[in-house]
Amino acid sequence: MNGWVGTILRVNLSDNIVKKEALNDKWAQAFIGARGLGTKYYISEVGHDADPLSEENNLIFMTGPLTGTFSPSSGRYNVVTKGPLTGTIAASNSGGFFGPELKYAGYDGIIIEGKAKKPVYLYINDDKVEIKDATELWGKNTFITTNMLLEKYGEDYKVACIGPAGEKRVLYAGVMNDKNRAAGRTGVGAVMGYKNLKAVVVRGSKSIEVKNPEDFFKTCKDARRKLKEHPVTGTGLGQYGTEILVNIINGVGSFPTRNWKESIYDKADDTGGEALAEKYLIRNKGCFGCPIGCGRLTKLNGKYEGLGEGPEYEAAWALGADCGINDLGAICKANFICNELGMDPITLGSTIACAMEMYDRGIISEKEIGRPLKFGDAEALVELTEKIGKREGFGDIMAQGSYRMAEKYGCPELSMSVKKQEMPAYDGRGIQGIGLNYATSNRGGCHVRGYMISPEVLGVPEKLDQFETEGKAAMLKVFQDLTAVVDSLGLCLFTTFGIGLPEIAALYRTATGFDYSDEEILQMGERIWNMEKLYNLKNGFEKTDDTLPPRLLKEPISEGPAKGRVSQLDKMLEEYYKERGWDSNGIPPEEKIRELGL
Amino acid sequence: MGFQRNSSGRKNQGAWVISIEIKRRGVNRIITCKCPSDLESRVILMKVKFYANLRDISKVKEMDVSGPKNIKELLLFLSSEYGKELKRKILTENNEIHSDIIILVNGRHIDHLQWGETKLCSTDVISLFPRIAGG
Repeated sequence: MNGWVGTILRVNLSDNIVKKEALNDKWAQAFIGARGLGTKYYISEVGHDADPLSEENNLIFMTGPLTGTFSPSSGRYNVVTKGPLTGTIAASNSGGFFGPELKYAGYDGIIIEGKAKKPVYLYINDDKVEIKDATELWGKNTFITTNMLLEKYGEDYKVACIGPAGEKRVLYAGVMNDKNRAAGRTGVGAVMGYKNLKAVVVRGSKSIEVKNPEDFFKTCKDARRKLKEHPVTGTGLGQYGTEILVNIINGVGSFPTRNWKESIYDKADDTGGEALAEKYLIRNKGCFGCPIGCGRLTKLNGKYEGLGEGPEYEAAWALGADCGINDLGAICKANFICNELGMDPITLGSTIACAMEMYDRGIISEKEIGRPLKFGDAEALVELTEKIGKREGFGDIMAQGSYRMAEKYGCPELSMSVKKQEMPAYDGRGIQGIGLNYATSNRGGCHVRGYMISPEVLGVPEKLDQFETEGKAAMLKVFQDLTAVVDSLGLCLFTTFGIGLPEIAALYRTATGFDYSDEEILQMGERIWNMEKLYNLKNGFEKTDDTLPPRLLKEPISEGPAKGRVSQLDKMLEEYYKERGWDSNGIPPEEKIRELGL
Repeated sequence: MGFQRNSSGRKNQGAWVISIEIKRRGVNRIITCKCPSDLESRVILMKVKFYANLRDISKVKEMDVSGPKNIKELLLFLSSEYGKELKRKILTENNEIHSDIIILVNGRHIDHLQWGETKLCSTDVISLFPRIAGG
């Protein structure tokens, strides 16, 4: 096998045993790597009814066949488990340098089983693998933890770890690697915290073989050139980062504001990529082998002093407009705290926004929260972010996400979530296809399962009308399947702004030597999507879960270009199930399962 | 082209005096012009907003413009005002609308309106973005 390095590391924390086993070649060929392969391992080994926070649940770090190769933007890996926030399959994707280093050490992935009796970390230096005591690291934030491990072992090591939020099982805690890169969504960090696994520190000196080095090099060079020449991947993302989207999404009237009560934020420009570049940006930053460099290194002075990365667009929205906050310094500070404590800022910001509406309506009081909580209160944002990460006071309730918090007070409809995970920064009433994507995403409310903003707002690969419903299901299916391929290869999704299936398929073929056509490679994405869906169905999810919060279905947008619109989900969902070849209840029939080789 | 831009307007002896403040390469220029009184009722001011690197070139977040009847005319006007650097971003050598620009009129993409022929009127807000992405 080429592209893959051929070994899986299996670590049982309950028995303190480390084993090395051969990669299942058949599975790697059928499910590619990272998201797809990790999920195949997971569902084959863990009962579907396992509690996410139990010894039965596994936590899998998996790379793809392109991770760590000469391919552009190939720094990605996935953390796969059952998500404690959603109860769905959870594959959380991260960049940086950790994934490539794991492959250089000789491992395609790590399967973590059981639970350690006391805090531990996993030490990997090529063939030397040890479970070590992490008592002195426990309780430390992700920056300090990383620094302590690098000081101990050397700057060449790479670290993935959890912060206090993961230790305390905040249901949306992430796994942080290289300090600021996050497998952020669905609560994979809480699973790691449950297992008492504080960190994985890795160093590798081996190489990755590809099948046709000369062809692969040429294909990579061609892809790299296209990314450099493209206005988005060549200059736009590097110059302004993802936050540049603030003004255009606000401009098309679909920028959810104050817990989605409104869809235009009059102070959006204060929080956009232009403002970030003007006020706080030091320079941009890239992950492993990436010519795009969308990361933001930012520095705050004065009241919110600090140095860190971000925020990304979705984080800036959740901590900003969704809470009615235009203080960019406070938004950056709250984002830094999320990185340090190890939490998903999308769910965190949305949970605070939901609490602000509950406070506004008199459902929760100042006494319960421990402070007033009006929309627009930047100090409350920073204070509560810290309290959530440490599960202090009302932060303990907010640490369960907006759905469980709102449900506790009898108002789950105020949670802007799908399958208990909060939707990101695009209003599905004003942009119809992204609403369909939220409803059908296999890991709950998520934008990066099928990024319909590309065609519906940005015009990539072609411009679709954001208000129309016709044709959205077919386009979404292609986006979801292609995304599953990209995630599984270990490539960054942002490459798809500059290169398409032909280039991506060529990278796969020349690296692995498997001569699949473009269509066959896209079908692998469909196979992965259906595998995830079947797992969720086994867990009791059904058609009624493929939905959106009532606000999006019943409350029309009040002003702006999308005024008067609600999501026409029912119409699109029926079409979507047909496009997928599923029955009218969203269940893949035997014939489809056979066709995909599942 | 005879278009006017405005940041503040006041009536002076039966005509509109329109003061225009332009900040280019760090220098503020103020241009004042008088409109004949018979044009008073026809002074129309639409708002043009610049984002990302287009803002870096224009040096202003937004400006008021009167005169252009459609998007194509507006882009030609902006090109004449801000020079080659902006023109290269918004128009091709043949003065066609550049494929690397996103134009919204009152929040609607011109792809779903009449593209360059999209008619403009005084209350319109036109937003100009380079090709951007994120997520």
